Amino acid sequence: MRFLRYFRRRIIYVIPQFFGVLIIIFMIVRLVPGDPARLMAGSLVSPEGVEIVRERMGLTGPLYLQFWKYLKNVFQGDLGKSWFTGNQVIDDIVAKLPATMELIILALIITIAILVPIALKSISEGNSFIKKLSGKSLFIYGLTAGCFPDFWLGLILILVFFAKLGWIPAPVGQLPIGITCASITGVVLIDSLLTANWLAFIEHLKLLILPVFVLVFVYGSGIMKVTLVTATSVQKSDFIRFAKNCGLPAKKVSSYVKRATYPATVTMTALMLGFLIGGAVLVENVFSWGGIGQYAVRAVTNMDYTAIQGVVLVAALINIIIYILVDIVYFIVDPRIEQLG
Amino acid sequence: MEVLRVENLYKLFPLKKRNLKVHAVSGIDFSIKSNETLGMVGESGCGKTTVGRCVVRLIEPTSGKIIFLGEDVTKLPEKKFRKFRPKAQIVFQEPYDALNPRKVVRQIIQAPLISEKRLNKKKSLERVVEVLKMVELTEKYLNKYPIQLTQGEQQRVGIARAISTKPKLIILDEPTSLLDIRFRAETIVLLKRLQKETGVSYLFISHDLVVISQLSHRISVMYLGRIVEEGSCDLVFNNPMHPYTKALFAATLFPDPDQKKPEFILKGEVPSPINLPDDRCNLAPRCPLAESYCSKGLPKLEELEPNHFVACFKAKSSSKKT
Amino acid sequence: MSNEILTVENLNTYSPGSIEGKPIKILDKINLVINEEDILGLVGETGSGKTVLINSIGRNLRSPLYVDAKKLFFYKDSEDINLMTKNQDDMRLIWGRGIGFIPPNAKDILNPILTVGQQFANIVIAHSKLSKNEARDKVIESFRDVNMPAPERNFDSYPHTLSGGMAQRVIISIALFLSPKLLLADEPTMGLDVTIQKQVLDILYKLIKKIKSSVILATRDMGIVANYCSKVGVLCNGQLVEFSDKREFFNNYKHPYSKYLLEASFSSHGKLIERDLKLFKSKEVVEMKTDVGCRFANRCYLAKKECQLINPPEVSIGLNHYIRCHRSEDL
Repeated sequence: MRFLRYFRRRIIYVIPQFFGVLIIIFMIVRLVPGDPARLMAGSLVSPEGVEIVRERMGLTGPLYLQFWKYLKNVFQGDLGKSWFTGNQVIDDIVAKLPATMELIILALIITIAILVPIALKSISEGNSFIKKLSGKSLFIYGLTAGCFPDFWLGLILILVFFAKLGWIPAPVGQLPIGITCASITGVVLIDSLLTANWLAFIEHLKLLILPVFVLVFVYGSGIMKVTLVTATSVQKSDFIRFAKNCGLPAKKVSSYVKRATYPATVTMTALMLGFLIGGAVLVENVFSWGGIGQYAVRAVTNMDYTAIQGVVLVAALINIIIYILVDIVYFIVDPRIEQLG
Repeated sequence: MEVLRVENLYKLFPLKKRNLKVHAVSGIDFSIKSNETLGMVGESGCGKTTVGRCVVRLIEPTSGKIIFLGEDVTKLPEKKFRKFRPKAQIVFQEPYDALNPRKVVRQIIQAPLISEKRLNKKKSLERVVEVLKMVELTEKYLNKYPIQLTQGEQQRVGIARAISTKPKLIILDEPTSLLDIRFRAETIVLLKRLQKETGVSYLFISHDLVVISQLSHRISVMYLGRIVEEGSCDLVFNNPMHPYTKALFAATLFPDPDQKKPEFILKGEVPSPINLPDDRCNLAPRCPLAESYCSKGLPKLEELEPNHFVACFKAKSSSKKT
Repeated sequence: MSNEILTVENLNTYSPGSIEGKPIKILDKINLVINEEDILGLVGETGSGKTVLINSIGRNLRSPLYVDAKKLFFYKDSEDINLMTKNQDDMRLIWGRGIGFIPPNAKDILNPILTVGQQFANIVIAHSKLSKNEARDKVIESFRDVNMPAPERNFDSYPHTLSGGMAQRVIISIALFLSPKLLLADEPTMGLDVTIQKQVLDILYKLIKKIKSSVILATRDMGIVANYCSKVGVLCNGQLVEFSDKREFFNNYKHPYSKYLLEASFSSHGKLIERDLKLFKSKEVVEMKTDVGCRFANRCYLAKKECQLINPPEVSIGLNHYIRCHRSEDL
């Protein structure tokens, strides 16, 4: 019941958020210097031809009409046509987004499944070897993680593990040249399993290692650090001390610590997700991954306006959805939130 | 001479949600003569602090009259009210928070002198030294920062600042509650002496009956924004008539293992002051002496013995019998 | 003696570092004995070390403070437990049923993410073999024992929604459920309104008598000591300067600091005797926390040179009544 009240208010905010995004995207094309219609049409087209292109791009007529047409299109799922690929932008995005999400989600899963527990273990009670090991490794990791830009790390790793050692196959994308996989969901990891294409599955795994590692290494550190710092301060807090004073067993106390740390981890994960979408752009380019990131870079270098618009819109939408999900998780995890809402 | 008269003071704080209002103060009347201390006692949420702040218009009253030194100052615009400010000062509860941490003692005490009385620098410095002596601090303290002082010294600076403009009335808002035991007594002693020397009046607001009894000539007991009992200090202490006053006394712990006090217990907790009904006694739900007529109207303050006013139907009917 | 619960002998609590080569001693040579059903009122000003003493006895000190004692024995179920040899894991077994805590500021020490009922139920389950539902019933019953309004509804309340008095009642009901042999209560009613304070103390007192716990109650309020305690210990800046039965204390206190505290608490029938208060210097002097001297010497009107330099000895005044003072003959 409390939840519905909170949720209803939260959802209402989405409308102005999304609207704001649309306005900004709409303005991007019209504020950029140069003539988009001419660029789209090419230098060989006559002025009349450029005007036709301009009309098709929706850049003619009074501004409010343009915006209205734009809105109509967006809500019908029409994001325009990419002049570079020749496809509808929406089709391009739908085809390429899964690959990007694969990287991002895998990176997050590994961070949450591995880094976060290591962080929690390193500050747990007792003096076990694992605790000491995790503490030391996290310390070194914490120091170094912030120093490496993602694309640089990717390149170095390719140099070492592919060029020098040959342990990793050539970074040509999601699959090596010559191996194909049917496209059902767009995520090779899943599709290869669905079609029992074991060769593709194995090869894809090998190619996943480096890009996911880079993302985890660079972006996971923030999540890990926040978890570590929060857990440490929770451990010292008065209510944990009192819980021990009431004779609660160590396991229970440690579950209290974890539960009190999760809100911070969740927040940081949400923030990191925004950065990860940006990070995917760079990593995809280094590894030729063929997801939205690469698409976006290509769109920008080729001044493919409609594609740029489409990608920005989708990225913004993903962010909005993520923040709503985070707020929901937060609400479940920390009952004090209703007061702030 | 009457320094302050407050008539029918109301203060309501609106809440964001719906049409709810917090009834902080509901119809308070009182007056203070010169050289007199009125003690206002009650627990948290009774509105006593709000009353104190309304009197000096730190908070604007919702309705009612504040008559200061014979003039109605309730609605005076700030420009005209300014000339009254030096005459009514306030000392706060938290000694450290009330002082600007980035200024030294000299500047803190000089501030009201320069802004309100517009004394020049030389004259104001003389007054600062004079006032410091009155609160038993030496010139050594002139250039100290609040953080370098003990709690007791901080509170003395607050008091010094208040008396620097030669006020006729000082609102003391729980001046000793947050002080450590050792500073409490000396602050009370100081306040007593200052009143003797300067004839200033005090509105002493506190939740502590023992502390209030040290200085007050008269006492008002407040509950949920209303005065439920009022009278000379001796009368109220020796013969508390309102059930709430009785409960306060019964709950006050004196450092005497042999003190015999009648048990008087109120059920439950203080209700919320949001949208308080004004057609029945607000204590009735908790009162062990409540009768059916207690929910049929709001009791008003009546003089049940000379100089002793009580707002309680039960007390009134009991006193009629004697 | 056969009904001793706690023996403290020569307990010192240190803070790391040193002043002029001497270690920093927050508590200096504390000796006391608690018997069955004693309620010791540990009284002193802010900073006198009451909380540190309670946490030292309960082996609950936060590092870097550390404690050292010749004897710190706790007697439970005819077993002598030397608390000095116990580390945190050992203390986990003693905390709860053996030694219980009532810390001040109830709202801060309750888990903010769980409802008060859930956390209390967790404690019940940890100490008994009850099921979740049985634990819930036990919690609601305990809430009733402390006059908590609307017990079932408050089971599902979060700590931040409760008032100070209600939160404190939750803490007390937890402590009483655990029924510890020794209850360490640190200013359990600080910040509460006076009528709520009385409610809370009355409930606490009634239930302590029922479970026959021994209590150390730290407070700044002489009134609480006079009305609820059976023994009095006066703590001055880390030294226990007077210790006796309550009645003996109020009729026959001897130490100058005790006199000062009583005067400052308006104990003479609620009126202040200014002449007596003037005896004590109120000017603030640096409080030494090293090994030397009496810690009240700076403010004491009877202080002589030796008071500043030599640790005051323990002097017995009467039955179960001792003070720490050099000038005992002149009192």
